[in-house]
Amino acid sequence: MKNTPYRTNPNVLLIKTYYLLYVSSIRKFALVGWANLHQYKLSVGNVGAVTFQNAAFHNAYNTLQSKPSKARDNITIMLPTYTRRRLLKAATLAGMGVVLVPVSALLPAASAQSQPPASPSRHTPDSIMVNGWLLRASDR
Amino acid sequence: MYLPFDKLAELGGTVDVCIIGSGAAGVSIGVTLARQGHRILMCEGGDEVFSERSQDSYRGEVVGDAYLPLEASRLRQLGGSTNHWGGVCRPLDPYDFTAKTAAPETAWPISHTELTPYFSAAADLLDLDPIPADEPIESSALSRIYFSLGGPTRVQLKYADTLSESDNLLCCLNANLVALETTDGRVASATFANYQGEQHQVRARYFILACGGIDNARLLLWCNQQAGGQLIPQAQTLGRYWMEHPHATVGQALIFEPEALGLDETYNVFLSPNEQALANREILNCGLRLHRMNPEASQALIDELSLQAPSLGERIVEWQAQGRVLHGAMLRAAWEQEPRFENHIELSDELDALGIPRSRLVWQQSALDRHTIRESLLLLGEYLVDTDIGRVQLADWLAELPVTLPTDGELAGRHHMGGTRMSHHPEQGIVNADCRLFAQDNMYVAGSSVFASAGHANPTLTLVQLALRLCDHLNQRLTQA
Repeated sequence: MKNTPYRTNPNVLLIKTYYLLYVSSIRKFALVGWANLHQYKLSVGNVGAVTFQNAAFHNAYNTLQSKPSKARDNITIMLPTYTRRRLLKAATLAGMGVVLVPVSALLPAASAQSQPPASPSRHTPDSIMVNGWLLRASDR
Repeated sequence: MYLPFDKLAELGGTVDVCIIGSGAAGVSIGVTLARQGHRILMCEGGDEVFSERSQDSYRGEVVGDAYLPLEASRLRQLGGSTNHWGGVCRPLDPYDFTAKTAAPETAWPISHTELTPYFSAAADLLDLDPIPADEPIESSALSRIYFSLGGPTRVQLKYADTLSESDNLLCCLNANLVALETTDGRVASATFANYQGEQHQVRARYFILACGGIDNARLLLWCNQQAGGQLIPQAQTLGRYWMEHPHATVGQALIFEPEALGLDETYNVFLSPNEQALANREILNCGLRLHRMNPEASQALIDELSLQAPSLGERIVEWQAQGRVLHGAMLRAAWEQEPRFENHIELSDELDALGIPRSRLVWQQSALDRHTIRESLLLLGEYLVDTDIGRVQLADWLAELPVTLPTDGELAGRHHMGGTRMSHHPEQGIVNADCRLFAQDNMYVAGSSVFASAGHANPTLTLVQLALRLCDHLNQRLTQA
């Protein structure tokens, strides 16, 4: 995975924009204020220390990290204690994040810095890799 | 004929072409233009034989990924690195000259058809074996490819008579370029120094720098600095886009049906992804080489595979009971490196014996370079799995992501390319499509330093083709004048 600085990563910037638009719409419907309640601190491997503002952001970011990556494995999350009400809100926003992120992936700006360009492996449907051996599933 | 260093001053303006360097490119040009009747001076910084004194100028620093010592990858003497090369040759593929989706900088300002007319003459000059056409492998994204693997030509020996007897080809040893003087968009003279501190200026109608894939950039950086930037006013890419061919043992394979890959008892088989596969996978070019294992090593490989794949192991036992011979093969690869601005030659703070700053090579392999070798090997593995004619095991450093390149072993092919890149525009390169410095009407660069991209094939044949093409260009200019 390319070591794009967090603050200049177009994926992250795009999600931030979505988030701000989303929060402004929430405020219209009186679901105001909760987003400032939570601070998720993430230490993201070689990307650097990042503070996420809410669960939607957190979920969107993790959805983007769909490729296997050591950086992703190194993520440590310190979660706050939730009340039932806060959990319900977090679940709602997480659901919105899932909706928003695939849309962002379609935009050129979101994929401009993705390297390497292709999936690391496109094995044939029934092939598997075991200790470096590329095998048919039936070989086992 | 050989010319003593102190006679350089007596040449006056009688030289048509002054060639700086006497390796594969320099000798090819010198011999060809002299045969056409032009008066050529070839200045070699080293001696007729290897000397520590000359070789020391090649010492330099490497920053970045693990690489070979700079002074150990080339020879600074008459004949240059042809005194120790392996003789392996293959032309670049037509696809190599084009822009790739994953790396648009791979585009050359010329197509392969510009070099094709010079293939036969270059093959004669290098005494190549015939190179058969590539053979697509059915139902695969691979082709079987061929190289000339004949005995390496030592140009110093091959052209010994010409060098010592030709009246048109003057060869001066221990003559090291230290400065280029420019006037009104032309190089007026070149200053050469010997190891005793003596210097002489040489005037010529045309100059050709042919000092190899590192020193072409180093000497131009130095001379441009000495000339206050007048030699190459737009020097932003000088030394940049330097490339190698990473080399490594990338895995092993057990082949159930050797004949499907054209393998026989003595095989040394080369495979390469075809153009469509390179484009689809967004990778650069790659050559895979299969080395047949001995029977004991093949059996050890069978045993290991049977442990990982018991069901397949049972089939193998049956095949062996029927007398079928399975071949183990070591897999080696040489692959194309992405031309990147960041990989470059620069001048270090340390000076050599001639007072010229030594080279510092800043070199790293990119995500695309790593992606290229992994995907190329997977192409072979998938083909063997699909057709059930074998299985591939990736080396540990390739099997896991991210790919971690080896830090020792073969590392690279000692193929120094780029640094004085050929381009249509002075903002993007140092020489134009004729190999001429953009800002100088009579100064050319020969050798692999002008490569815009590297393909996977050994560079010598291509650089000699380019050198012979340059001869045609200069012959035309000299004749017209």
